[in-house]
Amino acid sequence: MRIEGSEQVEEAVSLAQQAEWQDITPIEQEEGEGSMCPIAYTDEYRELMGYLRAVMAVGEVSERALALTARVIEENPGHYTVWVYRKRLVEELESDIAEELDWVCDISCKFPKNYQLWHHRESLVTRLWAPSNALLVSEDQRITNPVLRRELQFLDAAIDEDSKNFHAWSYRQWLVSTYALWTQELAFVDTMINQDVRNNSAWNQRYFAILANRNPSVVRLEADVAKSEIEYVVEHIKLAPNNDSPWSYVTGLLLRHAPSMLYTDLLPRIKQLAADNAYQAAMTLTPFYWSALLDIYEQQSADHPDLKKQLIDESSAICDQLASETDIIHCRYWNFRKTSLDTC
Amino acid sequence: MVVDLDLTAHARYFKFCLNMLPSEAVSQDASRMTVAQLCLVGLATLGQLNDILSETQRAQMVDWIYEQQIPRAGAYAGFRGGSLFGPHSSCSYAPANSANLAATYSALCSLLLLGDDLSRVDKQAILGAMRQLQLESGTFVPHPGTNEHDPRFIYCACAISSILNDWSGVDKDAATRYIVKCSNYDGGMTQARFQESHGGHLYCCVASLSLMKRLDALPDRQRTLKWALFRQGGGYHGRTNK
Repeated sequence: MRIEGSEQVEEAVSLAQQAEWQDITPIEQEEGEGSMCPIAYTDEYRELMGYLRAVMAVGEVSERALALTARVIEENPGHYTVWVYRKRLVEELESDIAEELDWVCDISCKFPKNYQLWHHRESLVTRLWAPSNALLVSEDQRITNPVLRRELQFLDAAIDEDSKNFHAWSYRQWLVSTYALWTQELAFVDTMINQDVRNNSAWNQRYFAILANRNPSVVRLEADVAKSEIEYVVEHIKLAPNNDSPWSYVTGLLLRHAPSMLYTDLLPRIKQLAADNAYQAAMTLTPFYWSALLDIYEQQSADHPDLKKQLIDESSAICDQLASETDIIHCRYWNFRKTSLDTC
Repeated sequence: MVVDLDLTAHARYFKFCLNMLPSEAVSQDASRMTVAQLCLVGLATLGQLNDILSETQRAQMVDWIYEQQIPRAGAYAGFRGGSLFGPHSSCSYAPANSANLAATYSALCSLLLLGDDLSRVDKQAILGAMRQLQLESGTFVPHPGTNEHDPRFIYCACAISSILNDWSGVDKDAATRYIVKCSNYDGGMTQARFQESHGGHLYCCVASLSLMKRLDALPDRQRTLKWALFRQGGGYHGRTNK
């Protein structure tokens, strides 16, 4: 299969018949008798690899070697040594980085989940615009710079294609952190959450957008930020109460960064929602609501020992309900959780 | 309707893969060592490894694995993922014939499953390379020349160290610090700090801590336990809402 825009055009003509390659003797692959999981290579791949072995063995630096690595990667992007070789070729040949990024874009469409592609991309982008230079200008100027604008567009397309592509979201975090694109990130996250309220990658990114720019191990979230997040979460719970993501997000966020607000602020809001006629049935049926109550009571009980007995009784009843009705598939867990209530 | 697991068919399938993978599997060309390991694990789990593979076949496979060992010292030492780069002696450009941590891990596991005593393993070379592959942050790259790094390779390093019974290749404090940073707000564990909780990385993080005997370092064991258990809905998924 030929990738549009890639360097090689003479696909049909074997390397052995090309004048450019006459000086090279391809190196055959050797397999012992106990060869494990040998692959039934196509003739084309076998030939490409024969020539690649020959040039890589001596570390040849040339345009033909660069073109050859492209052809091999297009067949098999999992070749970890070929990526190292290609990176070196791009550097030593002083290839046009923007063109190299074009090529990476093409390959990414075919192999959206390949690890090495994304890392190759990272090294190209930092060469194209060193972060230390980028940070000298304002964030607005950074986003509109062609290099970063292109990366953000590329990410938009990748996430549009697969809204939970793990590599795309990881790369996005790398880009935002490295080039300090914090201001625009929360808006992007909001768009993605509103597109699909069950997209856990987007909810995770929300935590990233709010916390990663600070030192999270010491962050005590400001009350107004925490309240605003609680409201945001409640609004999105209304859209689909039986959705793990917002529940995990808000309980995790508060547990780490504003634990008392679990019971001073989150608890009344979700109880209010559960009492609301429009949401009562859905809230009662979702295990996430009841599980959140358990987490909240656990924190409240730790902070207010005088309430412990009452909270343990309530929590115990919730565990029973989850085990027997609301979340039967995890009944063993809920029974276990019940036994550990007293030790909280 | 209950369907019996056809053990013979599964054993035949693993044997078939060990004999030959189709051309479509070319994307695994640099990972054959790991695919082979999975086939052997499958056969061993079915209790049929020594029935399906004769003594001669096993010995030949052991030899093939040792042929993938890079004999030189330095950061390239260990086992390669496959035989695609020819005999070591033909190669003057070291990165072309580089080992990687995942292949080294798979090779050692495979050797053990095939009944080998690891006497031909160049332990010091592997541990020496491993030291150079650990970053200051505590995580590991799989081979020189890449910026790819994550808990998979911490796990490989820990598993290798455990098998070789020598931890001189791993700075356990640094690795533990990195893993602890991978614990997420939902109790899950991630590829890197702030990334999404992921079942595969959870395993690599927890298994690494366990092998290093640092499980106590987990910040909230109960929450992590719950996250893991809740990947079971009907079947299992690797991430929330996936």
